[in-house]
Amino acid sequence: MTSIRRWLLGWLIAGLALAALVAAYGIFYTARLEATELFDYELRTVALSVPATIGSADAHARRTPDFAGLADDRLFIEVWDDAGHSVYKSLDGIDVPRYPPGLRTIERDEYHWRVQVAQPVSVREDLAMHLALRTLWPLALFLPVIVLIVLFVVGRGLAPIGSISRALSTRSFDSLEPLRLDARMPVELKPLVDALNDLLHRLNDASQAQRTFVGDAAHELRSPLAALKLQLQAAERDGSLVGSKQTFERIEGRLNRLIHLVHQLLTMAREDAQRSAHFEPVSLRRLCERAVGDFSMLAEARHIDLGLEFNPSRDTDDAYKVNAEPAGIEVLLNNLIDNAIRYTPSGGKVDVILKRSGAGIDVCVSDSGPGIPDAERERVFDRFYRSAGNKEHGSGLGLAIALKIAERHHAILSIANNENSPGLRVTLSGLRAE
Amino acid sequence: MRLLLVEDDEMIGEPVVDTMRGAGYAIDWAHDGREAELSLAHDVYDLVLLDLGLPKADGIDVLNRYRRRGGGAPVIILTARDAVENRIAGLDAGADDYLVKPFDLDELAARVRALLRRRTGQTNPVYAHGDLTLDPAAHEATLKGEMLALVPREFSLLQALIEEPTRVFTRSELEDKLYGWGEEVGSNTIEVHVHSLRRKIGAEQIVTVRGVGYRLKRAV
Repeated sequence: MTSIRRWLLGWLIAGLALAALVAAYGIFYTARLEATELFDYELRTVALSVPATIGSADAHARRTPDFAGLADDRLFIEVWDDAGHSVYKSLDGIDVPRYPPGLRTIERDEYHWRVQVAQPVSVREDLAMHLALRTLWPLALFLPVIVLIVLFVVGRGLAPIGSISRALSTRSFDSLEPLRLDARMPVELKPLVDALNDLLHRLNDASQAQRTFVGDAAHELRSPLAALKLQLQAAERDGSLVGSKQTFERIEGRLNRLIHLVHQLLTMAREDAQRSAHFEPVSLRRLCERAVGDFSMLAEARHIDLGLEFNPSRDTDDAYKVNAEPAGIEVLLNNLIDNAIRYTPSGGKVDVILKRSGAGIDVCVSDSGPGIPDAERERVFDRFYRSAGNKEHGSGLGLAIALKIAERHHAILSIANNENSPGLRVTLSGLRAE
Repeated sequence: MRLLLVEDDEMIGEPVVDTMRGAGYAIDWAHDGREAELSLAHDVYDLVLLDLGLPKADGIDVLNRYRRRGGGAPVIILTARDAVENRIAGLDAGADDYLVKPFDLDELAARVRALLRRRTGQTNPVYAHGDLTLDPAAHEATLKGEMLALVPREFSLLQALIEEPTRVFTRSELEDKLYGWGEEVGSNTIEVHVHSLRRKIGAEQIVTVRGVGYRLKRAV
C-alpha cells in the first residue's frame, strides 16, 4: 500500500532537508572563503606595519611580545635586509626559507606557513570555521519549523480524503446511497466521488435486479412445483394414478425435498440480496417459542423430544429482549431446529437453549445426533456442503443461510460437538440484550 | 357455498377445483385478471381464491378494485411470492389469508373452512380431533363417543386446544383464554387444569412442549 500522506511528507521533508544541507554547505563555504580573505588582509597589514628599524629594536621586547592572551594567533614575522640577511625573527627556533613576495601556503612540520608574515593555517581554519558555523544556526532553527509547516499543510490538504473515507466507513454495510458533494469538497476529489457514486448507483441497480430476479425465480420455480404436488395429491386421492402406496410416498418425499431445496435457494438468494436490515426490540423467547411450536408436530412424528430450555432459569417471565430483525432470526432458528431434527435419530432429544451471558443473549440448538467430526467443523458452513456418509437429504444451505443472518446481526454462529454426550450444538452468540 | 378460483395455471387449478367440489362447494374458475373482474362484478361469491401473477391484470390490482367496489367476500391469496413485503402488500390490499405455493390441498381446505365459518357467523361448529369432539353450543365434549364430564375451565381449555389443534399454546396464552381481565391467576393454575383434564381424557392426548406450552397430540 502506498500512502499519499507518507509520500508527501517523506519527499517534502527529505527534499527540504537536502536543500537546506546544500544551502548550509554553500553558506559555510562562502563564509570560510570570506574569512580567509580577511586573514590574508590581516597578514598584509601586519607585514606593512613592520617598522623599517625593527632590526635595532629592544631584543627582550622582541623576543617575548606580550601576546599571552592571543597566543593561538601564532604570528611569526621574519625580516630580511636588502642584502638578504635575516635581521629579525619574532620567534626563535623557526627557520623558514625566504620566498618571493606574495601569499602562499608552505609546509613545515605539521604547520603551514605564510611567508614573511606567517600564521598557522589551523588557526585560520578554526577561526573561519567558527565564523561560518555562526552564520548557520538560523538555518538549523529553520529546519524543524519547515517540518512542522509541512506536517500541518499536508494534514490539512488531505483532510477531505479522510472525511470521505470516514463517511464511507461509518455508513451501514448495506447503504448504497450516493456520497454527497458539498462546498468543502475540493475540485480534485470530485471525479473520484463522481466515479464512486456511479459505482454505488450501478451496485444499487444490480442488487435491485437481483431481488427482482429472486422474486421472479420464486414464482417460476414454485408454480410448477405446486402444480406437481397438487396433481400428485389429487391423483392419489381419486385413484386416477395407479401405483403402490410406497411409490407415492417416495415420489412425494422427493418432491418435498425438491420444494425444500427451492425454498432454501430462494432464501439464500434473498439473504444475499438483502441490503436493509430493520432491527427492532423483539422477544427472543417469543421467537423461540414459536419456532419450537412450529416444529413440535414434526418432532412428535419423528419421536424426538423437542423443547425450549432457559439457562439459568432465573425468571420464568424473562422475555429475553434483543435488538434484532425478527424475520431473519425466525429463518435462522427454523434452519437450526430443522437441521437438528433431521440429524437426530428417533427417540432423540433436541433442545433450544436461551442463555444470558454478560450483556448479550445466546441461543443454542443442541441435538443428540451423531455430531460432526472436528475435521469437517469449518466446512459445514459452506454452501451445499453435506457431511460424508450422511443419509439425510437437507438442502446443504441451512447453515450457510443461518451464518449469513448471524453476520447481518453482527453475531457469531459457532458449532461444536456436545461435551458429555453425543450430538451437535450450534450456538448463536453476541445478540445484544435490550 | 360458492367459491371463485382465480388461477392461470391449469395444473394448479384443476386439483383445487376438484378438491373443493369434493368438499361440497360450488366453484367457478377464472383464468385471467379480466375474467376475474367480470366474475367478481356479480358479487355472488362467498370466498375467493386469488393467484397474484395473472395475465392481463395483477392479482393485487384485482383485489384492490374489488375491495374498493365494496366486495366483502373473504380472499385467500395463493402465490409463489413469499417475501415479507409481498405478504404485507397482499394483506394491506385486503386479503384475509396468504398461502404460499406449493401448498397442501388439506391445508387449503382447512383455511377455506375456517374463513367460511367466520363469514357465515357459524362460530359454534362442532370440532373433532382424533378421538375427541367438542360442541361449544351444547357445551358437550366426547372421547371415543363417550360423554366427558368437564368443569367449565377444563372445557374452555379443551376448546382452546381443539380450535387450533396444531398450534402450541403458551401458558400465558391459555391464561388469557381461560380467565378474564383482572382475574387473579395463580402461578401454576394452567398446569393444574391441564393435569385434571389429562386425567379425564388420557394423559397422552395433551402434549407438553418443553419450555413452551401445550397442544393436542397429532391426529393420525
